[in-house]
Amino acid sequence: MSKSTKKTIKKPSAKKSKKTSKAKAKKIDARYDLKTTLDTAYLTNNSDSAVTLEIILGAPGQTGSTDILLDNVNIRSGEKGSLPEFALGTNKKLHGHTMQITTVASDTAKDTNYLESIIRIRGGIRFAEYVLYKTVEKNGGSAIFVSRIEFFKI
Amino acid sequence: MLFLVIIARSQTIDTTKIKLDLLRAPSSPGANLLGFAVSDIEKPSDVSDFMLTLQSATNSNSLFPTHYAVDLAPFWILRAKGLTSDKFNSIKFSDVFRQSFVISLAIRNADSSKDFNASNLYQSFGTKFSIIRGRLSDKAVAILESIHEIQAEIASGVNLAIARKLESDSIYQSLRLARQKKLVETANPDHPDVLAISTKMERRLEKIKTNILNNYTEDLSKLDKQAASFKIERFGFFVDFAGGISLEYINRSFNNSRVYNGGAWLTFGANYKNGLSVMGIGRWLQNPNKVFADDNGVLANEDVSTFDAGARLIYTPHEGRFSISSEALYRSVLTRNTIDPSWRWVINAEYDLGFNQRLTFFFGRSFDGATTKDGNVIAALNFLKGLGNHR
Repeated sequence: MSKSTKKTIKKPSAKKSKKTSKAKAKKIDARYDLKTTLDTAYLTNNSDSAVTLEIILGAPGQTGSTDILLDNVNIRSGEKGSLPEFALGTNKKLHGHTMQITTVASDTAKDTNYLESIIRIRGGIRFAEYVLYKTVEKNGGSAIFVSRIEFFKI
Repeated sequence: MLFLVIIARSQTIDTTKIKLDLLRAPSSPGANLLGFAVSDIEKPSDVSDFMLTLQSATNSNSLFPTHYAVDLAPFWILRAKGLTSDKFNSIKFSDVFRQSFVISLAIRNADSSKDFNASNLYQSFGTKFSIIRGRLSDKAVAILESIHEIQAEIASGVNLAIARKLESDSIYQSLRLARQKKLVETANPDHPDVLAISTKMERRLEKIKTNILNNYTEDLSKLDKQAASFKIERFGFFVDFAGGISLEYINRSFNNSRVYNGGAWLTFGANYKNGLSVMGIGRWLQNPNKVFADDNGVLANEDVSTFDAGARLIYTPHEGRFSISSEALYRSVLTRNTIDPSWRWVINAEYDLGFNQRLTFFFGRSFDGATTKDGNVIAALNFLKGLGNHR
């Protein structure tokens, strides 16, 4: 009797621990499958040519809004989805300034839980592309991508 | 699931022959022509993902792929803009096309399937895209607007709060000065020393962001709820195209090939807010070198090309449990005038009883009348009972 009682106690706990480890693994996978912040420097030159910014949001069917500050001055607010390429200023003028981009992305696609923001900067010393991404655990989950890019003249 | 069938007549009817939805175009035309299951089709999200699936299919690039099907969305793989939901209500052809364009490729080698010759190799190419589509429902538009509103509020609030906090954060500012010093020395933002400092700055930024986001838990939870409730529902006229062709390489030789099969589907119609949907299809299918029996019972072996034209009417009252649909299909064999054109029609009514129970009734005429002994009438009453949670 006691043996069978032991068995019935053991079984569910073993099952539970198996489930928990699976759930834990899933959670850890989701946690590491992300890059939601970026802090980098973008090299500019001494010219008067324009430095441009382009933002591409994904995956297909996802929803996002972006806010951009250049030295705490709001240059874009409530931008829906991807942002076509636009000029930020000349190489010379941007030196020493910092741009901060915050994108709030939500999972509204039925095929994937992957959220992505690609930042492309052109016109400086060389083209730069930065990718921020997150796979949310639940449908409808959200990601907050924050990027700081410091323009630096060499 | 327990499947209980009450037959309207005393004889058995093969219900698989009374399948509705014949008018639906395949979701992966290339893979569909070679009989791939939906779960076997790779759907890479970027170039590296595509290369990874290719590497796996070719055994690390050492073998020719033998069983591989892939659906490529080129605009997404090349990271084109305009694929997010803010462009979902656009009816401009360029937006509609880039959001729906899919290339479907497949390759199939010898296997045990009876439809394929074990000594040959099969390869297919297909594509599908929308030409015209309807507008999103008012409900879907309202949810999207609400999501954007909440997102914009969070984005502007968080952005400014982070910028202000970092300005007065001594740890972050000292790291910033250290990075500037290293940049002067190295003139390279990818230098390991610069990257190490940038990583520390990112960690500091992440910490500050997390603290600030604690003030937005209510907004974030509201946002998640709204996003989870978003469902694409369209009303209005639509036109979709899908097509594909497959080649058979005899004895796996690239010098000796022929068309194995092919097809083109043009679907069109309209969905209305009152629950009515009207759909039409023009479908061409090519099956070369097929054995068939003509109307006189004479066996022949040659190319068979068919053209189907059909229409379907579906009426589902809004949020209702009852739905009724009717489908008619006309089939003409283009390559042989010895075979007469045929047609079928089915009317189907369905009532959702709730608690996983469904009552369906269908009645109609099949292509060849083989489903019943007397005449062409097909009819059945089905009662479907699902086990599990009540929905």
